[in-house]
Amino acid sequence: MNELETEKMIIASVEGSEEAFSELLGFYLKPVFNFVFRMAGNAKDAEDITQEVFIKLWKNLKKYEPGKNFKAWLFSIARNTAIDWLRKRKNISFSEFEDEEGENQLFNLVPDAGPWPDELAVKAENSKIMDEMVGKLPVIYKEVIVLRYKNQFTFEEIGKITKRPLNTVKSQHQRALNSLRKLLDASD
Amino acid sequence: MKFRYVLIHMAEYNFDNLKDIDPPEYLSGRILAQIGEHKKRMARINFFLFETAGLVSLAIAAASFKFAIDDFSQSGFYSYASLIFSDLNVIAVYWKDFVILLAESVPLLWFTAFLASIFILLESIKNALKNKKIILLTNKFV
Repeated sequence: MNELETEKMIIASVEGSEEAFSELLGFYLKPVFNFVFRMAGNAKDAEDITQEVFIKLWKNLKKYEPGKNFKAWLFSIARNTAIDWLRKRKNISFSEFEDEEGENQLFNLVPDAGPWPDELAVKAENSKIMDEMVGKLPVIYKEVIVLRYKNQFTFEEIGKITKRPLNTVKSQHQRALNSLRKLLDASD
Repeated sequence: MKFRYVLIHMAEYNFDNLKDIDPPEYLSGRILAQIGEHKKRMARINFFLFETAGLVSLAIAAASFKFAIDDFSQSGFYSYASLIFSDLNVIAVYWKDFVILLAESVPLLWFTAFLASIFILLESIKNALKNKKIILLTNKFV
């Protein structure tokens, strides 16, 4: 579904077309579920969060401004819903260490493994290992990695989704990769 | 356990090894059902509100109509209006003053209340029917 088709579906949905909303749901369910699954860490919670995301989407579709990046807008709803859910479940224990820019000072204290080379050595025996490693990352890094590499968002878009400045996103991305590298080294 | 190392360029690194997870087949149906339920709940609340607004506006319309008629008969409008038949020449000369006199004698407040309540009544009926339709047809969405 290209942007034009998405816009058409959104307009039709706002006008009350159930078929159009079903189509939007069918197209975005999988990427949203995958993102939420990685944030929540289990399928049961991911299902509930995804359900909440699409109900919020349905309620707020009127607020969508045509011409804006719908996917990024939808993912910001998904991200906020997942964060709220995790907070309620008290799964985010590090949130109190975040400053106003969303930086986690606790992880800033972790020493860097060294300068990041141009090429990344990754143990990637199979998808399960990669999933495990990404799953072990703190939520703040996990979301950057998943949004960047699994959903192909630009850093700017990630900044909009997570409401963080571009430079913060870039440094979090860098730290996420460092953390991932450490985790991969540690699992050796 | 030893894993093989793969060198991957950052730019080309797409995390392809993050497997795609298929959402359960029932999930989209469950979401649509929830939305349907929510839609139905909202329609029920709206129906109740518009129904109440309709009944209240009907009562106001009836009362304001009665007061308008009572005021109309006491306002002297009929006496002024009868001048049209008795002194048409005078009215033709002073028609502007006559129109103002007639307008002033009309019980505008009650007429305005009556028309406004009729408007609210019609809007309430329209919206109540729209919400009733949603309540009856929402199962299609589920």
